[in-house]
Amino acid sequence: MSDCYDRASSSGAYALGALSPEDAAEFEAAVRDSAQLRAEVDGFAEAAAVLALAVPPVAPSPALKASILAAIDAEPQRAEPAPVAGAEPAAAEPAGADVLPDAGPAVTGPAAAEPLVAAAAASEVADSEPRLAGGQHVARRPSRGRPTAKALRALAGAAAAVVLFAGGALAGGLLTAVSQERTADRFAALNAAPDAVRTNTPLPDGGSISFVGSEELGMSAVVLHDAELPEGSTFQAWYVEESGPESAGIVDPDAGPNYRMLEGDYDGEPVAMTIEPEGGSAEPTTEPMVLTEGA
Amino acid sequence: MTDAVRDTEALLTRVATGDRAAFADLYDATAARVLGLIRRILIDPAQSEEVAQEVFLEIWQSAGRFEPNRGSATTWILTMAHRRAIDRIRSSQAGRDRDLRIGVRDYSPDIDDVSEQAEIRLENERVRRAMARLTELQRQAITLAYYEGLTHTEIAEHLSIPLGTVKTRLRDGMIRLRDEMGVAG
Repeated sequence: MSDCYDRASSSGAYALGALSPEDAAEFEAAVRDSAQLRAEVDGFAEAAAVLALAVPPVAPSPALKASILAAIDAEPQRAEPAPVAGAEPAAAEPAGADVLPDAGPAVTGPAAAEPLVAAAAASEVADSEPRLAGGQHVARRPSRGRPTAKALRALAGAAAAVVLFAGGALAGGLLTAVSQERTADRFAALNAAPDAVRTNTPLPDGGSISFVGSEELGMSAVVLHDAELPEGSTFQAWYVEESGPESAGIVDPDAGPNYRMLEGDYDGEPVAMTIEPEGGSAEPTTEPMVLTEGA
Repeated sequence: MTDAVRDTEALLTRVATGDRAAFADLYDATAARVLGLIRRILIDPAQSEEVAQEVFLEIWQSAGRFEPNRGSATTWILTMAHRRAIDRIRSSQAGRDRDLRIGVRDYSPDIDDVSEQAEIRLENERVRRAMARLTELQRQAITLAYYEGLTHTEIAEHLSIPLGTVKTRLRDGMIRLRDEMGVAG
């Protein structure tokens, strides 16, 4: 069944998804050869959308949005970005199947291949020539005179003072206390915030951590991508205040979804991450990784 | 072109540049439609959300491949959602079990209880009118294909009619829908 008439007569079935993969491939080959057939297929696709619109909408769970927004942080985009509005439509021609690793703002390209040595990041900061590791995209705003470099030096210094908390009795408690669904709502709201600042920091042992924070909402979160830790340890986030580091909560890669809302109010200060013994610490005990220098 | 249609296209264009806020807005504008369609096909709520997640990841990844000159952004998104839902049916046991429940279901679009927004009401009226233009036999064949995920060969077996007749019903039905909706083509 490969005569021309027969293939053309499959246009309805094709638009409705009713061809087997083999028949669909054969039909698509015919479409490539015929502008008329392509016009019919495009028109039928619009008509098939009518069938989709005839179905009652179903409101998704809040968790779905949070899960999708977390997932796109780890997903590079494919193909060329679409032309800006008003550009020649022909420019929207797909650019083959090539994956452009840094087409998206998620910094998973060359930066991810460069292991971030936390100490290097800390010393760069100390040079008062702050530069985020791995070419992060951070919305820079005029400094409000916060002594970032000094505060970060204080944080690095604090790492020397090893103070362990045996029972994990940290102020603020563990993030797991917050109900999962409410957390998903907050995470979704954070991701939709117009002033959201995002960074991505590669981890020394593979994987990376994305940070997203909104001063307007006073909220921040981290998203772990393939992050692994030695047995008995955990990530802990810190707000770097002028007075020193304040715990923003424990981030355990083995518990719950791959994102965590950070504890406390985010007001644009620098945020860092350390690896701590299970249960967390009162002060950083390892070299901090700088997630954001702050707004 | 309605405002909603233009908005969806503008959002998709921004998503293609890596704009996450636009992606969140696009999700808000289309997720209920996408999930509604997938649920209609898959029935199972958990599987449906899984497939919806796949669809939105694909939207994020390939927004740059949307060709505005070939159709609307909403169509692009719903076509993707339909294809993934059908793929899921055909690859899963759930799909094979579906044969048991496919009768010749009477199809009447259940669109009375959706949002009261004027724009959606208007859209639903157009849909209702377009669906009413199909003959009973066209509506039956289209329903088995689009909502139940049967291939045209399966439809021919199911209805005990020749394959050529199925193709003709599907194509003629799509021509009517297209013309009624004022779709160019």
